Amino acid sequence: MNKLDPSLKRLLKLSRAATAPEPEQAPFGFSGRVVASAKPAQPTTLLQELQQTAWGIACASLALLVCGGLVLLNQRASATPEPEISSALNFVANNILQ
Amino acid sequence: MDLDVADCLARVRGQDQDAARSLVEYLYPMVTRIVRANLPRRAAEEELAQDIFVKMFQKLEQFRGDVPFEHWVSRIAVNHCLNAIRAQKSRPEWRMADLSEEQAAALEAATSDHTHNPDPTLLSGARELVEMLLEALSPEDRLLIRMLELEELSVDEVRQRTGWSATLIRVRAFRARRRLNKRFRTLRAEGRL
Repeated sequence: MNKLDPSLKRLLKLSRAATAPEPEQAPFGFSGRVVASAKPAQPTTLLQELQQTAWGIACASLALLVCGGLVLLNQRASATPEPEISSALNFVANNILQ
Repeated sequence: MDLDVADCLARVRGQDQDAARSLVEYLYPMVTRIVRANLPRRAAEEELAQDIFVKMFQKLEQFRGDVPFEHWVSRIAVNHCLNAIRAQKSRPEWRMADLSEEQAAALEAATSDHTHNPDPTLLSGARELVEMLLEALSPEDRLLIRMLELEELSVDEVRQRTGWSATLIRVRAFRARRRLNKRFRTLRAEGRL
């Protein structure tokens, strides 16, 4: 095996003596940081997807109900039905229901 | 620090965060030793160690248990450091006139064998000089010289840490020593002028 120059060997020996001491412990919070960074993104399960869909549908339904309620309130606050509609209702009551 | 690695790994695979933290704390001295020995210029030691541990957790499913877990992690650390060293730009060649006073004194002491009871300045000069000499080598050769000559590991220990074959280590070490000798002799010859 090829040998190093004796002077170079001495230089390496000096360098070894200057090497910093080995770390004994991880710095405070290091392992926590590593574990937090390494935490893989959990793949969503079918159940979770169904839950998300159900929540979406529930929210949409609630929004629809609220809109419907608002429309009804608005209609009640407005004027009496149009004459054409009331005459049509009278026609139905007089001719068809008899 | 004692740790039942197999049991700990099983718990880590079961998403036990306490076990993951214990594993990091157990491996920290070994990983940091590798990082310190192969730290690229301007790189932060702790940041590099953190990246290695994150990679270890990401690859954990690939660990089959063919080698001890410590060796497997050591190979991840070695490869990560090599990639970090490759990513940095190589330094232009420096000459004797570029050496600091401490580095020149260390070179003089090593050449004239006046290395008994060296003072801390001389030691740090020697360390810097060795780093500069090692920068003339490829990242793989640098790693090998550090392990064989600075950490004084055996070929078998290097094989375990790097995953390289014993033959490759011997061939690479032979070439690396030759290059390092050449670089050192050139520098010493310049100093005599």
